[in-house]
Amino acid sequence: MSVAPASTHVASHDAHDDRTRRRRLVLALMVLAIALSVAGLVVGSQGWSWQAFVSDVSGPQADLIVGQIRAPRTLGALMIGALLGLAGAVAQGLFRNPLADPYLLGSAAGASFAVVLVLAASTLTGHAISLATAALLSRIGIVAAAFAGALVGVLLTLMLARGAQQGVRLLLAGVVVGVVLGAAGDLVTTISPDALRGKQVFMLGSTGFLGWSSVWVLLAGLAIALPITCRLARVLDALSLGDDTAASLGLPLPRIRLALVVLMALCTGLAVSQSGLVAFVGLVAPHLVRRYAPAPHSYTLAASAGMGGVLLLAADVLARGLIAPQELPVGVLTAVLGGGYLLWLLHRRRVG
Amino acid sequence: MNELSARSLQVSLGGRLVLRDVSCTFKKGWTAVVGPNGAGKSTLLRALAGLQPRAAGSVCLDGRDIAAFNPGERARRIAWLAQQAEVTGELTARETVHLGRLPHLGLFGSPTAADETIVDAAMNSTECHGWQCRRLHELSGGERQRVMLARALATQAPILLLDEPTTHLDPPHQVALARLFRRLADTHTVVSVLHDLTLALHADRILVMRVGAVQACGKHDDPALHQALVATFDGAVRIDNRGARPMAVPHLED
Repeated sequence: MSVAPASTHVASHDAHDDRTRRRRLVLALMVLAIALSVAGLVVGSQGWSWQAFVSDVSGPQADLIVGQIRAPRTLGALMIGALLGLAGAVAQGLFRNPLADPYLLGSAAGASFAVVLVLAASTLTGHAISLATAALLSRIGIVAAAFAGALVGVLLTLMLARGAQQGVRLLLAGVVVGVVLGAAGDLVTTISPDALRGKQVFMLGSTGFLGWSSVWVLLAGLAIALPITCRLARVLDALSLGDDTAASLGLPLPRIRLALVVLMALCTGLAVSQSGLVAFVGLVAPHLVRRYAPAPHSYTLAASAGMGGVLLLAADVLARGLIAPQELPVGVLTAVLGGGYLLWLLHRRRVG
Repeated sequence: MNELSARSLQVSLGGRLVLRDVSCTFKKGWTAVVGPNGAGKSTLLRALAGLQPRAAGSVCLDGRDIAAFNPGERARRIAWLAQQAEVTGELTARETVHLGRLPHLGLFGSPTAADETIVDAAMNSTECHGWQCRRLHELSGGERQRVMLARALATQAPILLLDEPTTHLDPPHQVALARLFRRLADTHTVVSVLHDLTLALHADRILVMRVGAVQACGKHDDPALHQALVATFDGAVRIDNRGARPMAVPHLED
């Protein structure tokens, strides 16, 4: 092609500027993660008090309070947020929709239904357990039920949508599965009202039950999901040009799409099984990353994981300290803050 | 060889037969596909690219059924340009053109200096180097189309299937694109859907379609092709043979 004169467009984005913003965001996320982790070790039932912290660590129960309660809770919150941020970035890339949420594919509904079933069954058999139970077997039972429920919810969605090839059909199937399993859960709580309390705690989301066993499980999940997802980042880039263009580039779309859905279910199921439903982190984290440092998915996926971790940890620190010694459910806080952010975003767009 | 052929090809969309018994062969050179809206031109290109399920018939690349190729191998042989580029995400023009290297790199390969050179060459050939750092959603329709074309060229596929590549382009860039196709035609099989009949008459061959069937196929100076063009467009154009190349002129008189 040869047309004179050559284009005189001035590049609005300089490549160097893009790189600088991306580096700055990574640095900011690292600093925030460290600062919030320290805050997570300090904040306890007496709120944000340095004296109380010094007294805790010098007291006889230092290992229990800091080592066994606050440290795993802090690390766990960081990793749950990272899993949700990663799943959100995958969902938004896969469905080419910036409002896609990792809970869309029936995982949340499946997990909460399974937890309600376990709680109801334990009540009806006279061995009532709760989400806050410390008994290892009961705890594993609830976690396993939530994880299995999340996977079953996604599988039902995939079956209803006849695979993962069509994004819109998949989203609609996810909505249907969510509604049906939600109604089934309500039916179970009608039959066994005692399960209602457990369901409520699960729906509100909490990082209060996280122990070292949770941390190892979450770490393993993140260590598997993050590198694989980042390896598939170029698929999400290609999908941003449309399904047909992506297919014309030689990508085996049905298989890769299924792999991404499974990874998303793994991240969401793992997070939900450890903390219940924590709203908006998966939706907002990729938004914030793209807003400050728009980039190809290889960067967006990893940065969204970092952003999700920082957001949830910040919410957890706030939830612990805002009305100490009482504690706010972290899911409520993320819902309020995340909802507020989206409203502000809508308002700005309308004004713009 | 790089010969792409359709035999008794039928494609059905939503229960309606969009391609009816289409047979055609595309060899090295530039072929322009023309026809009124809804003639099945885009569907033919999608079927030739292996992106459209067939109701009947076959599409063969060098004598082998297109379905027998694995997706990566097919993408290295055939590049396809969509009629209208879908744009979501945050990719810059250069990152978009880079996706053209995917068929060679696969999911796990990293781009080398040679890939960067190929991307540079593709962007230079469609003159979109000047805004390589701008994001796709910031570009005009014509600028975006040139980026997408560069993406197709970056695949280095010997067969180019281009669905309305001149859409949104200003006249100088349409002409520049036609010159590029002529150059490529020496070594590539270029098939482009065009609505500008005068531009199409600069191609080596012109394939005329109407309601899912091929009406005619021939060279620019073939009188039978001219008759078919006039008939296919219901006399809305006439062919003016006075210049070095025939021109399609709108027929405005009642």
